[in-house]
Amino acid sequence: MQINRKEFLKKAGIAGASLIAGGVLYSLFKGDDIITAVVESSAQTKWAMLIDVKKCAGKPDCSACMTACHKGHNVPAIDDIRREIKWIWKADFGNVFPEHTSEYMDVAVRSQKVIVACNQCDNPPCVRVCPVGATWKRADGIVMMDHHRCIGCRYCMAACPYGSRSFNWKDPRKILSGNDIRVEYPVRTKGVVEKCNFCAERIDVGEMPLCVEACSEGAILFGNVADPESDIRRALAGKYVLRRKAELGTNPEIYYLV
Amino acid sequence: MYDGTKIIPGILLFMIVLSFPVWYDRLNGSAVIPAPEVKTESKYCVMPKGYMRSNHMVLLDEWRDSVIRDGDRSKVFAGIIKYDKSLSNSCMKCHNNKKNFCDRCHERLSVNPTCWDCHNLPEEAAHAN
Repeated sequence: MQINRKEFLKKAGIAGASLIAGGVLYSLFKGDDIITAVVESSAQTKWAMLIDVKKCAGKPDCSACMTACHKGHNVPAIDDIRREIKWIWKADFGNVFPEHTSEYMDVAVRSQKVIVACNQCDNPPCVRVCPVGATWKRADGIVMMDHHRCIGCRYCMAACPYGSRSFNWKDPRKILSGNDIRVEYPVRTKGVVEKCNFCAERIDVGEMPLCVEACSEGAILFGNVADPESDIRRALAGKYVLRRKAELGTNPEIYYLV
Repeated sequence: MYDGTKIIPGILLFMIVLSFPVWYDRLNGSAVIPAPEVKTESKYCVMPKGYMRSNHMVLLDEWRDSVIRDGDRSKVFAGIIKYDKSLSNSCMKCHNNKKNFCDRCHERLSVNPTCWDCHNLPEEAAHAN
């Protein structure tokens, strides 16, 4: 078959263009599923928490979980709301679940305190924005923080829709007095971001998170939701539970029984 | 050689000035290699002394990465003892005097590791009790 120069260039052009178009189409359809309502996971372990708001509200003055956590992780107590550091704290129901609150809701109900912490999202926005890989999702779902790598840019704080992250504006060692420091767990340094880590250091050695252990009401249930036989899966199976801002697609792993 | 009487003493003087840090240290007695104080009942460290002396920072980095990044909190065997991969909870249980152990070499070599910005010293434990 005889082929002239013009014909050859034409055919080569068509072939090249279709190759590129194919690649583009493929990547478009395959995509990086950024927002997926339910992320399918084949992980053997996925840690999650179920908080019973009613049990918790029965003891409004209790702060056992917060004290245990903050003491155990050397979290300094700072009164200034703009500088404070929180791993686990209480917030009004109306602020935690604005989408489940109406203006006619009784003030007492709306201002009922709910325990909040880092939601250990399945699709964590903080991880997506961290430029240095200082925060990432472990295979068991825990969103970890590596303070060695954190450069304090606070992108993660801007990305987190729950305000679960705090920045160390001051050297926490200057706020914690010598007696408050638990030697086994490190303190942070000025200029890094910190948050709840689901007590990864305890889970890894087979212990329950500090808040779960500290709660006398048994209001916090912790377990592996990847295991259909686990207590938390049984508790979740037949109940109507809430998750904070689940519509954002972050897929939070803290469930609330209201 | 032209002007040899000036050049040779000049070179000698230059060499003396150049080697100032060496002979000044010798004369002052400050050229002694620092001896970190090891006060421990345990006979077993995680690695031989020579390796630890030159590579402890590599080992600590590996421990850090395996514990935090990989979540591998398995223990390290040394002789008959199991140790956690932890600076505060293993190393500094034996080598509990930072001033006489860590700082002696670090100061001499002018290195400033930031470990203790966050990780706690056993002195603080004594303080807490």
